[in-house]
Amino acid sequence: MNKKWMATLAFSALLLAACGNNEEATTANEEATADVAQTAEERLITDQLGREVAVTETDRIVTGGLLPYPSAWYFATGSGEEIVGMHPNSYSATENSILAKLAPEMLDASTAFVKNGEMNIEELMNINPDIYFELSTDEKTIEQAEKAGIPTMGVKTFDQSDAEPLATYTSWLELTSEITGKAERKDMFIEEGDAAQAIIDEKLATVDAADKPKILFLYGASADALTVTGANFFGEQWIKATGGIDVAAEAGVTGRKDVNMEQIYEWNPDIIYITNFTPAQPEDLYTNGIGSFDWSTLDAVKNKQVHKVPLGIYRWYPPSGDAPLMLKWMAQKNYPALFDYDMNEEIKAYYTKFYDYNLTDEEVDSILHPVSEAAKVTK
Amino acid sequence: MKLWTKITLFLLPIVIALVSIGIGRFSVDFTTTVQILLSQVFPIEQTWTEMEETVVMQIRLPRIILAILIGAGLSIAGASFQGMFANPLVSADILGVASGAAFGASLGILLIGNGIAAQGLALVFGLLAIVFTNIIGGVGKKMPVFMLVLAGIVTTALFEALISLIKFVADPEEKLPAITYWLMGSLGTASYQDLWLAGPLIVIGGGILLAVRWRINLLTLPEDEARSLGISVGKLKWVVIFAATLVTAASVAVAGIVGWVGLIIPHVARMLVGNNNERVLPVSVALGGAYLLIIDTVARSVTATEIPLSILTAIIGAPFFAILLRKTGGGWS
Amino acid sequence: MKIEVHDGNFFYAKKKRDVAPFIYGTDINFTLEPGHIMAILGPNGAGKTTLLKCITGLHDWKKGTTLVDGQPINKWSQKELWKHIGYVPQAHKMVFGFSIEELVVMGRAPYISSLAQPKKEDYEAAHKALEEVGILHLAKKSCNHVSGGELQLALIARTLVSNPKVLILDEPESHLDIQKQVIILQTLKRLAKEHNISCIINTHYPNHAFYLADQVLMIAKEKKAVCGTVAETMTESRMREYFNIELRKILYDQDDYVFETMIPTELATQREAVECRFNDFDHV
Repeated sequence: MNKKWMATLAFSALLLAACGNNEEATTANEEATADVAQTAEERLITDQLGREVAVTETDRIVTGGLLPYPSAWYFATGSGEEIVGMHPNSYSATENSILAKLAPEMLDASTAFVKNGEMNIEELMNINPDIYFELSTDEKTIEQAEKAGIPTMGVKTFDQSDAEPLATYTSWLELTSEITGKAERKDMFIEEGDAAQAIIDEKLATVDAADKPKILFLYGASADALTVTGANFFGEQWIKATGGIDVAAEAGVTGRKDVNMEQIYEWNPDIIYITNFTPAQPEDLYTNGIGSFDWSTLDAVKNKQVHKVPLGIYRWYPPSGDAPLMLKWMAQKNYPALFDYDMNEEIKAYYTKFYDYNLTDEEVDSILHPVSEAAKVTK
Repeated sequence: MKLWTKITLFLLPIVIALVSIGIGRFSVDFTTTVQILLSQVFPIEQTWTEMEETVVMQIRLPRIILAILIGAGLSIAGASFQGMFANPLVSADILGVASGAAFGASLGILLIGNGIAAQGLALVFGLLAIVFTNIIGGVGKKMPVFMLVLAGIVTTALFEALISLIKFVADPEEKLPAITYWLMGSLGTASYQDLWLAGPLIVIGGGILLAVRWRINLLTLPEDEARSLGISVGKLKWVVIFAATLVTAASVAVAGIVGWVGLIIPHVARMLVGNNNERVLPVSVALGGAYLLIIDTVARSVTATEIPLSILTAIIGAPFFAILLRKTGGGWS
Repeated sequence: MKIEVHDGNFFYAKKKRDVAPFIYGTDINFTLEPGHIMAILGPNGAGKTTLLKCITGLHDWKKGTTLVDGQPINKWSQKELWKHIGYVPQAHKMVFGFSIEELVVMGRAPYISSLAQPKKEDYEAAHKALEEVGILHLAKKSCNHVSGGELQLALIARTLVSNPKVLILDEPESHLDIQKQVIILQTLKRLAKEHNISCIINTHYPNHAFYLADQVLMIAKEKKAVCGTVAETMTESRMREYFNIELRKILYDQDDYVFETMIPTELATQREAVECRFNDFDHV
């Protein structure tokens, strides 16, 4: 008798709950279509895919294939507490960057939900995220997380703002400020970026088109493949913003592609930048340390103009919170004579201003000369 | 075969090589190219840049030689397997050799990195695949050819699965693209090191196959009939299998899986000179070398980015083979 | 060359060590003198093809042995043995359409070193053999584009290029029309006579045995294997026993020739139904 009662009670409770849910869902839909202001409990945020995502809490953030985003969250909010899960590749960047010092709490984030580049939905549910951030192109994962009831933001990368790093980053900050309500850092970032670009543009106005350096971004370099980036990728925009000629983009390379050594000879760039997505270092080119490639006849190698892209709050090649610094750094590498500021001081000032952190000289050095390990994935 | 046909076929890859060495993303004019080549033997005053010499001697030359060797090797291995199995629709893949070697090389890339380790493991697993195929297919003096083919399919499936496993555990940033790209087939990073490693093996394997090429005719006969012509069928089959495997594994280790060449070229050769393997094999060597060289020259020079070889060989090979099938109805008489 | 079989018998086993009942009712025993022709007769499924393979060592006897010129066959080196014995299988379609001369030159294999290709003299031998069987004009034709009889002749030529002393033929005249049958039989008889070649031939036709054979080996399931001269072996009663059918031996002589054959009695027609008189076909 007692048991029967319990069962009936439990059943009715379930039924009620189900009805309740249904009602909620309908009202939510109606509100959405009517564009009525949301309660503090639940807000609708439009992500970069144009989807409306219902968000209630913002305390547990997990980020997937959108690798720079953990640092962007920290940049926008000044806090890394909320990041409870991130992609292993984001983690390796965090671990090997100054971010580990700025927000050591981020190193507690779990990476278990991504194995071999694939998201495992049950592992993700274990972390119990309030919001999950994923690349807009990874529709399958977004759908999977959404089905599991996890509010999921689709975020664009180089398909946002023509792969212009600062504008892309701004768009991320906008989304973040919409979620958190904190817009101050975003405005500071835009201001700083505009200022840096203005200084560069002013000085570059005097530069003759013929004197512009030929630049190549080496995305990957191993005995198996030489990968460069061309049009519709961040490298092209960096080069454009800092007054160079993107030899790969001009030759019709789009995105990131494999090329042969002969092609690199043909380009014979004045400057080569190596991204943080490969363990390769400038030394490897100077000493012909990769496979059996002979770099020695290239102008960039002869003139020691091979540079590893720095790694600050995040890798500087993609959009990052340090993007204004990347502009200044690259402009100076491209035109040492024109830009005579002390990069070390610039970095120190920026970090004090944005992160409220006073860098030591060693720390500045580690930003400018990142270790090869930062390219590797921690499993 | 008439003498002039022989000369034409022999000269074909050489002439194409001479043309190919003048083609590339980096422009070196033809006379300079010739001067650079001649300067290796004769003392010629250097009027060209370091870079031009590096392009011709360090980048193009090893790549061209490798393309010829691999094209020739895959073709002669394909022709030999077709003859041995009396089945014009098989190629090196049938015994699981290609996938076995591919697995070995993937394993090398995953565990040790690149270079010699990957190439060594490709050889080991290519040979392992053939042994494995024979264990399933039943080893013995009288090998049932049909069982062997089925066993090859099983072996291929197994190694393909293992390759997938490797791709699954490879880290997606550095090694997975390397493995994926290499599996598609490329000579993009060909060097003298690759040449010294694969070249001798291809030459040795190919040489053995050329030596026994007429006897491969006998293997196309039913086994009792072949034995009644006084040859030891089992021994000869093993010699052919070993040599063809050696060639295939060495090629796969350097260039990844380059499809279609081993299947198509022997057919073209048969269309030109008939079914006698005494002629089919040498003609396959010449045509295969020339064909892959042309394909690779296109792959490296048409666009700024490298085009994987298998894409090109399949785009050309598949329709060609479709026409061939329609025309002949599968019979090769 | 002299071929002897002593107490030969055979069975098919799935595994090497398995034992099964022997397929021949009694052990096979015969001696074939040089230049003699032996016909093997027996109903379908009697194991005629198997017998040929056992005699030549392509299958190993489970019991007994073959002696070639007095020496056990397994003591011969394969290369040497197949220089002397020519095995002619039933003509079949080939996967690769070799030309007739390419097919024939394969017979030179025992003479060509393992790593060498056939030379001019090997092709000359092939042409000579083709001329011998009368199809030299087909040398360049694909073996899949000639008639069955021509292919069969080519296969005989393939054995001739190694100058064999024994020919083993598996129903060489089956599937051929009468004219082609005659050519094959005549060729064989001539070869035996002119080159002193011994022949063992499987056949289904009693009259072919009468024409060709010096001796006959008759086998049937669970029956004694009999070997003897044609006359003593091919009797009406034995044919009835071995083939399970009533046959009449027909003898007909004209001028210097004798026609000898056997015809099933059931195929006889009633006298009224035929309008001809005995041996007079002219007015029909």
